[in-house]
Amino acid sequence: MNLISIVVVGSIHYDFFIDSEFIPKIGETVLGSSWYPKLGGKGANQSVSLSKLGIKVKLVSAVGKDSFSSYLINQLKKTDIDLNYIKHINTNSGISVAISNSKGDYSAMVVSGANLKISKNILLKNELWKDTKFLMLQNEVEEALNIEAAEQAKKRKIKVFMNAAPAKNISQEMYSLVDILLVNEIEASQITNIGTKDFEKMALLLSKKVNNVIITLGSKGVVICKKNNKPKKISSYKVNVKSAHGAGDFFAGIFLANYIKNSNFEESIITANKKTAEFISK
Amino acid sequence: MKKLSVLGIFVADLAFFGKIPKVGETILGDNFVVGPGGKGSNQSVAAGKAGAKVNLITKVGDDDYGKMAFRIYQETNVGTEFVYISKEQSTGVAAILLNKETGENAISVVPGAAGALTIEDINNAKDVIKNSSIFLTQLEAPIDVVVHALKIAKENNVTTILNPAPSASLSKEVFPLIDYFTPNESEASFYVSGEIKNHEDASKYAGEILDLGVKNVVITLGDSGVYFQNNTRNHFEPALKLGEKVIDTSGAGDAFNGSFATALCENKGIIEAIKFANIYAGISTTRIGTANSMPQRDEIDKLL
Repeated sequence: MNLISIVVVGSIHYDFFIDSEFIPKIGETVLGSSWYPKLGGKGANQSVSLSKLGIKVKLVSAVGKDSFSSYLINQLKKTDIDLNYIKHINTNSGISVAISNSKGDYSAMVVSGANLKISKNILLKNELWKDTKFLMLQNEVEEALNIEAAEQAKKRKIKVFMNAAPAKNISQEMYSLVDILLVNEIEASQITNIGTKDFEKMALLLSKKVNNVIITLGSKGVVICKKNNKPKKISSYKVNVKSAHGAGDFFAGIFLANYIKNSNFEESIITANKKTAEFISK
Repeated sequence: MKKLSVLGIFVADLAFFGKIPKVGETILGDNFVVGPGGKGSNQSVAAGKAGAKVNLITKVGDDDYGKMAFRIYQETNVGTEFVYISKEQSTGVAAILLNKETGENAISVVPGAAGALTIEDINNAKDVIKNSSIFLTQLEAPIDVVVHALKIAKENNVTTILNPAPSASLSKEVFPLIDYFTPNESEASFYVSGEIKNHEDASKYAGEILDLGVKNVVITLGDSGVYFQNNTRNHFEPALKLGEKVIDTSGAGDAFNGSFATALCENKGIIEAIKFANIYAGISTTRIGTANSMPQRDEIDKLL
C-alpha cells in the first residue's frame, strides 16, 4: 500500500483536439484534418501524470451534468486516481479546444464551466488530507479556492506546489502560501511584468515571494532559484519535438513525484527535464 | 409537390466565445455552445422548415453528434434515407472561436465523416437525385463528389443550384452543369476580375459569371439585398429593413439557399422565389443560431 499521497485541487476539461495544417488567425476559416476528444484540464492531466508514477492522488474537482461529464468520468476511472472528491454539479462541464499543426504549434481556448464552482467545503474534511505530502495547484480554478486549499494544507503542515498556468495575476496572499512555484517562460514574463527575456531576473524576483521557483524555457532548458540564492540554469536535452502540448503538465507531475521520493530539488528538476524531452519527442 | 435533394455536409458547430488566441496562447473563454452546422445540413433544415419535400445526402459518424443530426432532421422534416453512417469516421466538427465584442472569428472545419463521402455514395443515392425536380449543393463536400452529383442531376434534367461556398476553383466543364449559381458577395468576387461589394458591383461583374456557362446568377449581398441576372434580364431585390432586429447573420446564406430551392420546387418564378428567400433569410437573422434560427413556413406566408 502506497501511503504517499498528493491532493490535487484543479480543473477537469473535455478537450477537443483538432489537427489542422494551418492554425486559423482572426477572420480565417481553415480546413482541419481530424479531431478527437481527450480527458484534459491541468488538474486532471497532472493527476494522471502523478498517478502513473505510482503516487496516490486525490483529485478535488467538479464536472457538469452533461454528455461530456460521462466521458470524463469514464476516462478517469481508467486511472488509479481517487475520484471521491469530484462533484457533479448542475452546469456545463469544463471544455477546451486546441487547434494544433504538425509542428506542434497550437492555439487554445478554455471555458471553465463546472471548474469555477468547485466546493470549498470538501477542503475542510480531515480525511482528504490524511497521509498527504503535497497539495498541487494550478490556475484554472478561482484563486479563492486555491487560497482556501493552501490554507487548509498549511494548517496540516502540508507543502504547497503551484503551477501558475495559465498566467493570471497572483495575489500576495496566494504567493505567501506557496512553497514551490512552477511557471513556463510566457507565464513568467506575464506575472513578473518583465518585458525582456531575462529569465534569471524573473526567477530572482519571484524567489522573493516564494521559497522555490522553477521557470521552464522549452528548448532553452530550465531556470531555478531558491529564496536568498542566485538563479541557476539547467540546460535542455536536444530532441525533435512532435508535440509540446501537455508538456507542462507532464513536467509538473514528474518533478513532484520525484521530489516527494528523494527530497532533492535540483535532481528532481533534472529528471523531469529529461523525461519531458522524451515525452515531447514521442 | 415536387421534390428537392441536397448534397452537403453536417458538422457539429462548437462555438467558443472569448478573445481569439494567437499561436502558442491559451485563452480563458466565457462560454461554449454546441449546435448543428454544415451548409448542406443547414440548407436542408431551412428547406424542410420552409415546406419542401427534401432529402439530404450526407455522412455522419456513429456517435453523439451523428445522433444530433438525425434528431434535428426528424424535427424539421428532412428525409434521412441517404444520411450515411460511417463506422470508421467521427462526425465532423467546426471549432468556431468568436469574439463577441469585436465580432471577429477564427474557424477550423474538420469535415470528418462528411469529408469521406464517395462517388459510390452518390451512385447509391442516384434515384433520389433523379426523382427530384431541384438538386442543391455547395462546395464543402469533396469537390469530385459534388461534380459527380451535379452531372447525374443534369443528365436527368433535374434543375441544379450550386451555392459555391466556400469558394473554390472549378474546372470549366462544371459551370454549364449549373442552372442557378448562388454566391454571396465575397464568393462571387472569387469568380470575377474585380471585387463585388454592392448592387452596382454585382451588376457590373455578373456577366463574367454568366460567361463561365451558368444559366442564372443570384448574388446575395448581405443587408443590401440580392442581385439576379441571366442572359435576358436582371433584377435587384432589396433586403428587408430590419435594423436593430438583426442579431445573428450566421446561417443567413443557408436560409436563403434552402428557401430559394423550396420556392423553385413550388413552381414559383425566379423573381418570386428570390422575394420568398429574401424574406426567409431576413427573418433568420433576427434569431440566434444557424439551423435553429430557420423560420417556419407560416411566418413567411404572413409577410408575403
